[in-house]
Amino acid sequence: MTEPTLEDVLASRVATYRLLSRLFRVEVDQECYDELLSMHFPTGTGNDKVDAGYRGIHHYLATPHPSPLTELAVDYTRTFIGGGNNGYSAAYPFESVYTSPKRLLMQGARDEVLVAYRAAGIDKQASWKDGEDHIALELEFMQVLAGRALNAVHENDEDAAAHHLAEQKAFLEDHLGGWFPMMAKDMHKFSKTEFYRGLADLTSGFLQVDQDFLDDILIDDEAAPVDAAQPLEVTL
Amino acid sequence: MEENMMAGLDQFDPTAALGFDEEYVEYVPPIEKPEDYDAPQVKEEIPAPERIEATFKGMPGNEKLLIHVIDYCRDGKDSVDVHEEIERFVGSGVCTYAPEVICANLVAAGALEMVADQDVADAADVESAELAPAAEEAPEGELEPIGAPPAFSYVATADGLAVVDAQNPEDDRIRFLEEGQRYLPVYKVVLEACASEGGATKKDIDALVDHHPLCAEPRRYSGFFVKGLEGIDAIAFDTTWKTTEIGRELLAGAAFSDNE
Repeated sequence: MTEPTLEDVLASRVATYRLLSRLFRVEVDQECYDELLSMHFPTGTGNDKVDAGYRGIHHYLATPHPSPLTELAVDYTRTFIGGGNNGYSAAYPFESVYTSPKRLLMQGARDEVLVAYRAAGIDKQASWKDGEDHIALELEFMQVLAGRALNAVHENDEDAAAHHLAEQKAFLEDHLGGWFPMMAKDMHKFSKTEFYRGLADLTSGFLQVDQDFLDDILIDDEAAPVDAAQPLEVTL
Repeated sequence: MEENMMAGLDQFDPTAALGFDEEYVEYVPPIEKPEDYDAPQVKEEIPAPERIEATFKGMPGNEKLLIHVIDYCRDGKDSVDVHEEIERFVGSGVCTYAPEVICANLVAAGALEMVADQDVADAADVESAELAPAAEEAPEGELEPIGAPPAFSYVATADGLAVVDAQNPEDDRIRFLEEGQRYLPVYKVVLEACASEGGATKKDIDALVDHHPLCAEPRRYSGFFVKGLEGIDAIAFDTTWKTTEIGRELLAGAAFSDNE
């Protein structure tokens, strides 16, 4: 088996961020369900949480359910919206909730990510009515930056690639990596399907792996220019 | 100057009762984490018979359908067949639940079990056996795509079948007629109307019942009689209300003959 190249890894990161963002954004619909059924789920990735996440999602999909889309929609609502008003009744998918003492929406974290989005020339679509610090948007932001890094590597623009990777590293450290573990813990508490518990594990594990990757690649990048065609030690 | 002006204003402080520090008043108080938030969640298992009973009560008007579905799955039936059977049973009647939701409710209640088709079950067993030692040293690779939603069958559980077997429609009919002795003439009129060619609409039954002397005090409306007769399978709705074979037998039986 050949080692993945930098391009392979970057493409894989884009795809994984896209998948995660989609699963957090709205409930699983028929199109998404069919796509999940046709997916190859990796095993033995080297990260226990990633493996547990993929295994949980795969096991849910491989197990009979009378009405899986309805069941997943119910669990999505139970997990991310909840039924209480005490601020502790669901795994609220907003960074502000986990980083403000009053667990409110639209706090400082939202302003910070908005600045990061705009600095990258990105704005939310008009159809998005929630805060910009929603987990789906933060993951999608990482997907966009990862895509830019991949394009820069395609064009042999090492400086641009390094710049985009550094942007992601900073965003991961300042935002996603800091608060998502708390949300993942809440997802385990509130969800009742292996699917959403698996999603919590997969996202936690993937963010860890991605953090390690960015740490390694940026150190490598500072030491010596990366040749995109060369095999890479890091696997996702 | 400022103090003098303030002195003339209403001193009402809406946050005073909340006990906030006057120097740091915010509208929303800090939200305290519930004491039991991180406590282990105690899962109280409700026995299946209670869950089944609650499910039947929670889906009023569908009792016969639920009984039929459980009975239909007595020896196990493919899920697709069960869903089609539900649609067939409902026919032109009204059921607000999708077949999948009816089955899901019965599964959740413990009246039905889902059994994966053998190949899927084998694959799941192998998979869980392989992966059970967690990701200690899982071999690098991929799980095969699932492809299509896993095929499965529904099998009635012992608790579900107990509910079905406890049904005794004959006794129910006798009890119904005994308890409704006073209204036998009205039941008879309704059954005869529904036995006529083309059955009877609700409007037809209203016309028969509304001015019947037995329905004056206490006031009874057509729904009371329709629901009762439908409950013992004497009439059924098929675009109009029609007397069933059971209803015709009752009509010709002793209960209504003696009443004449």
